[in-house]
Amino acid sequence: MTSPAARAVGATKIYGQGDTKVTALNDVSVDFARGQFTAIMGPSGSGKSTLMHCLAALDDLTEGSVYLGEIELTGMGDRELTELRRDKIGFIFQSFNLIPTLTAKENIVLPASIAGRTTDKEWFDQVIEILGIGDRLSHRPSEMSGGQQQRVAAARALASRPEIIFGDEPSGNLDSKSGAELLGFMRQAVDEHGQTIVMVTHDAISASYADRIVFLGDGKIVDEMLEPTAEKILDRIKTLEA
Amino acid sequence: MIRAAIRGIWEHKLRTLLLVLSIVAGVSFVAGSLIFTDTIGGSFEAIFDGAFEGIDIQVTPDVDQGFSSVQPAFDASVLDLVEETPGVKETWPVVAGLINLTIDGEPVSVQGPPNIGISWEEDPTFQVLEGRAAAGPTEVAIDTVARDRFELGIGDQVGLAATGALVEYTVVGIVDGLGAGPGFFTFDLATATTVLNLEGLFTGINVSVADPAETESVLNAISNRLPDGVVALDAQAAAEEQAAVLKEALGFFQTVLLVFAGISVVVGVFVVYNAFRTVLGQRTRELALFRVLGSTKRQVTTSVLVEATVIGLLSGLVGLAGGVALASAAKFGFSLFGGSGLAEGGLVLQPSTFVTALSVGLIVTLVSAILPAIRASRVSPMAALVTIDKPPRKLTKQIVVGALFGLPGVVLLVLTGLDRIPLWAGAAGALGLLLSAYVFGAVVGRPFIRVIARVLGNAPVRKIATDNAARSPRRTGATAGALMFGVALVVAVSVIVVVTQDTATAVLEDAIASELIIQSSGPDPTAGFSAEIVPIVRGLDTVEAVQTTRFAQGSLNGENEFFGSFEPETVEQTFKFAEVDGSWSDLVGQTVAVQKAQAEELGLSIGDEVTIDLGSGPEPWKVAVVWDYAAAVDDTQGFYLPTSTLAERFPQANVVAAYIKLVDGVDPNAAKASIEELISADYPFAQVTTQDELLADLQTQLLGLLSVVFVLLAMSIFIALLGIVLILLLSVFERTRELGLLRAIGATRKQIRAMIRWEAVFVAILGALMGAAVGTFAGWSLAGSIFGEGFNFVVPWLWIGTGLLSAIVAGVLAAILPARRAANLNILDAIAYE
Ligand SMILES: Nc1ncnc2c1ncn2[C@@H]1O[C@H](COP(=O)(O)OP(=O)(O)OP(=O)(O)O)[C@@H](O)[C@H]1O
Ligand SMILES: [Mg+2]
Repeated sequence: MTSPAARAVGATKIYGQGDTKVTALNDVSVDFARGQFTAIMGPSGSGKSTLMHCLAALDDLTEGSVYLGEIELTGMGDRELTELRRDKIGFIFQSFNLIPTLTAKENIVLPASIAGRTTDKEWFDQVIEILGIGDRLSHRPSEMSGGQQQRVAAARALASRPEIIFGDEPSGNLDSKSGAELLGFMRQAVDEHGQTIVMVTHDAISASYADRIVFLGDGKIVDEMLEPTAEKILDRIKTLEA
Repeated sequence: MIRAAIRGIWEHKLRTLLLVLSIVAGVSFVAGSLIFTDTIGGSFEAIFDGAFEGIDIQVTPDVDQGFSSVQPAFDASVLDLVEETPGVKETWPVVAGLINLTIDGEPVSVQGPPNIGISWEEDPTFQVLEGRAAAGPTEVAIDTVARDRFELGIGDQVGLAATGALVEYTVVGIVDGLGAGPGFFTFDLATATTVLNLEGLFTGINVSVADPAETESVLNAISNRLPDGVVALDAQAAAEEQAAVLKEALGFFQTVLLVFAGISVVVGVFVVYNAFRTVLGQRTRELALFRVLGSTKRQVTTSVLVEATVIGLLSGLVGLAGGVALASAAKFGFSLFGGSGLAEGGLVLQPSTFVTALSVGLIVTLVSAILPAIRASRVSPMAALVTIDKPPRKLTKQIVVGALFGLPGVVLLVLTGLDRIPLWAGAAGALGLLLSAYVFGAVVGRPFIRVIARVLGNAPVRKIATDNAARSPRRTGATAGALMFGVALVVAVSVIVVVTQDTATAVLEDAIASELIIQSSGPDPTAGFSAEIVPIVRGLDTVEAVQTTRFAQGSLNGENEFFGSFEPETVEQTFKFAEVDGSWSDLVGQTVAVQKAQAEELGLSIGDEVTIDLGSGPEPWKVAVVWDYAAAVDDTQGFYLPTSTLAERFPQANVVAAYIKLVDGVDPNAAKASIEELISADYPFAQVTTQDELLADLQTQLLGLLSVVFVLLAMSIFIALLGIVLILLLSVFERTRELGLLRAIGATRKQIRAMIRWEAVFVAILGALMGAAVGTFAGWSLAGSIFGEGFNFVVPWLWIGTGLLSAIVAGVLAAILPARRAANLNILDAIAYE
């Protein structure tokens, strides 16, 4: 069996000190298998974003460790973490995913060009085709709709064939149709190209695109669900909140 | 809202600090110039209050030219005429003239005001402070300026000479001179007459009257008796005139400070304007929110102006402190320059200076803030609710405004360059062109930066830097514009310097055939040296020919004119001519040789008559030669008389220059050494120089001029640098999320720093190149006006390069702080959602 794409072991994150101390993550251990689409759900303030940031080499833990494949992130310097993000991780944020002065195409190849690499032309074309943004490549972000912008962001995340893609509510700012399209593409990337994706979401319908759902509450993993559907998720949330 | 404005100042300490700093330089120069003038000006008044006490009337030659080599004098018989005038109580004849000195046998080179040898026989001009008045052929009494400047005391030996051979004198007394300006060396009348070679002549007569109330009528009575070329003046008026001469030296310092002030104020205004514009642009949403909450447009404007006021007052106060520092520096400089007596006592800080400093600070900031404030008040309340994606604004306004300033500017500069209109019109044109370039920066900035970027290649971060620099063209243009000023200034001045150098080199190489030149080593090269040297040099067998030039002042056809002189016998051996009409051998007696340009101007040709007055009344002189040098010599002296005639008329006058043509094959340096050996003991102030040395001297002088320019460059670049820092900090702040995103997807800190640095360098190169272009053009125009049409234009590549390089360095330096900020952004904060 291959190792999981990403793994947290006893991950604890504490913000502040004394009276203002907040434990955002409390001894979280979780694996994310390769080729799987995982959704992280939970109430506001439950630590979803924190967990994702720590997994994605954007933030460090107070205690515990995080692995990307075989590589342990804990204790790495800024430079190594930066290169890791550049070479092994893709991101789709809720908004402001694109550099406004660059065209869609320039944005998509940005991680590669920052690393001084060229993008695999065939794969690039394939990604563009999957996401249906071929006619937008020379446009700047301000000339595109929110849904198009998020698709370009997804294309950027896919283009460098990262080991894992993290999304923090990637469809959170989109209407249901654009959101559904985006999630459909992400699903397709997982099914057809074996991409690993971890996505934070509030929305049960969005989460239903995933293979597996991890529920967080108060900085702990409170539940898990495989092969979710929207109804199952809503039911589970109700019980969890009760 | 006002409270919000004040809090804004406090919360953005770094921004406030940078804004204050960019205005401080201007305020400092203004305040410094005022403090300096008040301090020194006060002492001037004190000096001249009692300068001529006891003297009511002065009789002097009618040519007002201060102390120069051709010290005008009148016949001693005038004394009798004055003495016999009714109402005259006492008279004291005076001889005075420039004097050179040696201490311990070494010639003392003097920078600044000259040294004057003067007769003094205990008339009221001076007062003995220590020791006694000089008496006899080896004694001298010196004034306090000379004492302090040369560190001389009673009993010291000093070698002095005007036109004759050097004589050692003993200092026997210290007298009170003016306390500033020239240094005085006083002798008894007989000694002074010998030293200055003014036998039978006086340069002035001091007169006291029996009844001071009658001064005016006595003055008139004397005037009526005086021959042509001699006048009587009220002593008070004479004192004021001398004060004016000294104040000119002060005026120079003040002018320099005010020029610095002007430049720093202008650059400061641009920096602050740009910063306010950018800050308010970024605060659009906040301002709109205030409008939603019911603030009126006026309240928005007021809040911006309150912020400007606070910053202006702060700058005024800091600038005042800077002004005090500058004034003490200037005072020190002035004391070195010969004003030792003036540099005593503390600085004078008048309330008006205080008010002016604060006002300059205030006005600069308010002027800079007013347009951005008005624009801010126009922010629609809607802007708070929706993010209005501003389409890139058309730059039509920039093009129109730029053309409005630029076209007349170009026309004025071209006309000035062709020497059709006066220099000040060209200066106005230069200012117009600078303003136009400043506005145009926005238009040319974007394509220009794209081009540079293409030249450098589109590495990924550089590409983003390029886009950022091109993103808000007006901001970039304005930032670059501030830098442009300094560079333009330096390039323009360096054009003048380079052209001067080039012209002078051409003169030396193409117009002068002699290998050696003898001139005065004193501060004024036209002071010349004793004619006694000439026969000594002529006697050497390495010397083929000697050509001596003397100067005389007078009038030609009623216009004041400065005359040179030629010796017809050797002129063709020592100079190179392109064209000679008439024959040099005809240049004898009352004849004149006219340079071609001047001859054409006056329509003169061989045989014509002109009226020349050399102080003894108008006389007819005949044009004997019209000539043109082999080089494009800018010689304002177009009229040359026979040296022999001048020597006859002004036996006391020095030879100004001797051109020595050596026998073929003689080494100039060896010849120089042998001449020096013969003359240096007796005539230490006659300096023998080779052509190479003259060139080197010239270069040294020009470097002196350039050092002032360097200060200007450094100063304006510094302010512009603050501008770049400010704008970069603001845009780093503005682009926080973008930077966070770049870091999140894998840009290293180093790459982020490089990106900001490139952005700064792009702006700097833009500013420097605009400056170089405007500066070269303005310099050409200036040079055209100074050197006349057809001068040899030289592009000062070296200085353009220097300007460009310093701009790039400034850009890199300016980027340090903003780049560090950008690189150290917390990624999570940066990408945190609103
Ligand atoms: N920089 C920080 N400083 C202090 N506390 C923080 C910081 N970031 C997050 N927290 C706290 O950590 C806890 C977890 O935050 P986190 O952002 O991970 O929640 P979340 O599950 O993503 O919530 P949401 O659904 O609202 O995005 C919260 O209580 C939050 O207040
Ligand atoms: Mg979150």
